[in-house]
Amino acid sequence: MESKIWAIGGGKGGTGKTFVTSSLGTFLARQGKKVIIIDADLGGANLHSFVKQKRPKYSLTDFFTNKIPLHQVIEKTQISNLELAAGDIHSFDYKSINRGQKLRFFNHIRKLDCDYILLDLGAGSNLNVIDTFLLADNKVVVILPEVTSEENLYQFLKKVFSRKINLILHKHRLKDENTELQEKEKSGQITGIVGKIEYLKSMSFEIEKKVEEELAGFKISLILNQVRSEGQIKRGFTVRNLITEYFGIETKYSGYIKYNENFWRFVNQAQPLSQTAEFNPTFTEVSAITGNILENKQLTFTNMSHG
Amino acid sequence: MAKEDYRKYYETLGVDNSASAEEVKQAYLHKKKVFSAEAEMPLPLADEFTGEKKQDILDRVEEAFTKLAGLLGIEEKKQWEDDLSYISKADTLPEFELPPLPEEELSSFAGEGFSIQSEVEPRLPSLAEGQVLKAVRESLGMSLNDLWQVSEIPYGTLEQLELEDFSAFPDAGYVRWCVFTCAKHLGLDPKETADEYMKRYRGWQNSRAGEE
Repeated sequence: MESKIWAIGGGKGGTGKTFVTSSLGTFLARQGKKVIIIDADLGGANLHSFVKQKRPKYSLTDFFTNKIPLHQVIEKTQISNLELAAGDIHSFDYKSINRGQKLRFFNHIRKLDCDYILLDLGAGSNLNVIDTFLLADNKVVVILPEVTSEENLYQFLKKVFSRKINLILHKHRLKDENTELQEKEKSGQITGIVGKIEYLKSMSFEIEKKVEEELAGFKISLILNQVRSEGQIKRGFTVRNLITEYFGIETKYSGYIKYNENFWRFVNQAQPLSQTAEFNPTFTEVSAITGNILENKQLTFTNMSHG
Repeated sequence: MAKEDYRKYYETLGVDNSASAEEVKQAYLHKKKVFSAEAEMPLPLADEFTGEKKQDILDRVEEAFTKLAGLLGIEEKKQWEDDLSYISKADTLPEFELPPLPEEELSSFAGEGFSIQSEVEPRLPSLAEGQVLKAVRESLGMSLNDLWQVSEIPYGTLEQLELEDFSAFPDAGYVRWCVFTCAKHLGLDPKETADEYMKRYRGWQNSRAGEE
């Protein structure tokens, strides 16, 4: 199944989510696909700067407060086939949008006419961020090879899965089952995300079917950013295994991006990444990652090089 | 039918269905290590990965490997398990006596343009304490990342410790604690190492006080 909506998240700030969003978008666009990138990091929007869009005409604030339809907020960028919905450049707070606004946002996203939609999420695990992450078919997480970044990722995913279970219970009106689940959890008879899911499934054949349908295609793509050593590259396999076992969900280690000391230059320059020679290695890595995500492949122990 | 069966095993090892025998071996050894009884789990996940759960995972990993080894014709484990170099010591701390410092290596290392501040008498001639830590670490086949994983001292701090970039540290107490902890994980005498290292730190402090 082709995934149309991609979300790029991971809990911690400063891991390079925005950079990853802009470059994945660029690569998909270069393959002739029509791509829309959306800056859902409303509190700290700067996706526009990564695609070198100086003054976006509209932003998502106009969508949320002035009721302008989403497709009108979207504008072309310097890169052909790549379009942008800029986040708020002022001070709009994503946390403050209500349920109605959120559902309208999601509906508009689903209706967009293009091949891929990439959502750049903000840091933290606010409910709006979690729900936007859950909206995506393809869930990409970006971390740095640091304990703090890893911890935030696990905390983020825990919230994502708890939310997902609640949404399943709610959607299928499993009120009694929910009560039973909570009681079992309180008494310590079931623990963990997998335990919860397994218990739910064991309740009845019907519920099992529903839960499996809901979780089918739920997969996570892991990207390690700013790696500086082979040990750090290998850490990605460990994180992948931990997530797979803890959450019982398919996780692919899509690849890594090596630390590039010239990165600040890119951020401050006017040209997009693809037009700067210093970023050729980074470019190659992102290209490989994009390919891996599209083909549902991952990094292997026997070939850890992206080049 | 048979294919469906094997897919589960590939999944357990976290490799694709087309994985080579070599890939399967490496993925097997890696996962075994990640969930070994003594492996420490990241705090947010520690609630779930109890000893029992780990054992359960290990059993599944073992089963998956046995099945795939049969399918791919992987030879008896003993023949390759020990000599695979990829899951090197780098991934865990080896539990053996620390070998004596490889002095030749150290001196060639030191030859590469390190200058030692004259006011400090280093324990090893022409080798700064930060470099000793680095050399010992490397002689154990540990990367900075590995040391960070076991010591829980931030990566950047470890780097600064080895580079003796003291300006990054808030106070002497923290430097000492970091060195002490690192030494423990490097199989060095923590107290002795910290004492030596702190001489360098005080040297830097004095020189800085002189400048001001």
